[in-house]
Amino acid sequence: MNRRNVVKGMAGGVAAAAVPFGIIEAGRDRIGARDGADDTADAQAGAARQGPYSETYKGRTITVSDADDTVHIDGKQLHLMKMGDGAYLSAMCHYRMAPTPLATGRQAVDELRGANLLPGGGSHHA
Amino acid sequence: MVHVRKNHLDMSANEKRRFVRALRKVKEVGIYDELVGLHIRINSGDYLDKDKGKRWGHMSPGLFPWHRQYLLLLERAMQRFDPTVTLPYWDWTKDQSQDSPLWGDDFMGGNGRPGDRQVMTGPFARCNGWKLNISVIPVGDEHPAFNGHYTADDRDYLVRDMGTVNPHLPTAKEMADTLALTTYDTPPYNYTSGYGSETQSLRNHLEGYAKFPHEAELGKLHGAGHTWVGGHMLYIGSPNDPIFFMHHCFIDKLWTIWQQTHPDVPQYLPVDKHPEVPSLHTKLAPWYTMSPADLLDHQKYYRYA
Repeated sequence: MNRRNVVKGMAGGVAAAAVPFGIIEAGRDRIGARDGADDTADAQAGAARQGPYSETYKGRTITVSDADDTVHIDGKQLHLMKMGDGAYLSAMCHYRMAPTPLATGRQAVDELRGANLLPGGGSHHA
Repeated sequence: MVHVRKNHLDMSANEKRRFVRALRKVKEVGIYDELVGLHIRINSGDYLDKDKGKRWGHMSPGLFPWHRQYLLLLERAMQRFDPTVTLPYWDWTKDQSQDSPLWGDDFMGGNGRPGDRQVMTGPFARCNGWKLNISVIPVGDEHPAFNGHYTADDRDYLVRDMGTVNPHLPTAKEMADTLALTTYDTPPYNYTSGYGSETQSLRNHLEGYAKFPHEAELGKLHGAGHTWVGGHMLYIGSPNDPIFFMHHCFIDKLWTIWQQTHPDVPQYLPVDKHPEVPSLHTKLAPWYTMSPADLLDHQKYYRYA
């Protein structure tokens, strides 16, 4: 059972945990909005076919590869954990899920405040 | 001697001094950092997106017994230096102010400073000698999933950013509603336990991955303590902040309250062997000395005031 099925199957259920949470900056397409979990997942699936995505955020370069669910900050890999569709934790935000790898990347930049990731951390897809 | 754990608000100045001294001693000899590394290692394994292997202490019914054993390790190490010391707890349903004695210069120290959010006050400030050693220096070529070296960043100082990521500490109502649940945990024994079901999981609600329909967002109770303090408490290296242990001490106390409130329901689930999570009689990694059954009754080890 993946998370999306869980979410879809629980309409009317007791625990209305309908969408991912911990949205960093809702409203940006790729980040995902609070009520757009599935759209976000679809957008990510589309992006995977287009290759890695890169952006400059607060002066840092975030690179996201949807193909293998990796995020790099200035070329250093962010330790990322995929819990399910639209549910990610990272080494820099380990107690609240983000909807997309890019959202984890932006939050990591926020949390680093100019500090650098060190090599050695990786994803779980070794 | 019976060890009594109490609310830090009920500690005398002398008790606080001894607690801080023992903690810094345990840090000085390397035990504290070993515990930080151990938590990162187990935590990372628990969150692996993997096909096999167990979730020992997170997103798992093992959350409470695993952390009970983990906290006992620190407490016993501290007691080797000072047998009078016990872990205090932080009741965040009542003790929500940044002006609480909790964050005083003689105890946990305060919030991070503006800008880099470095903690500059109290015994756990870098400038007062508390240097982070774990999760800042990668060692070896092995994948971190296997050696625990989940390097986060190049800061060797403690970071706190109170109320920024999450402005709200847990409420008494959240706690009461969760402790009223009568089922310890439910399949699939992960962060989706209780989703789409009438039967709600105490463990998943207390951990913060489940919520009631009237609650606005996920991330309450255990989760909210981590996210409200922010900084290292938000990161994978969260035990680098000693508040981690006072936070989990309160989670541990809540487990005892739940047990006392619901003595006639199964106190731990699953009872039978399970491929992903510890069952009642599975000895917990990485120690393999005690099972959830061995850890169910905290009064064998300490009491709560």
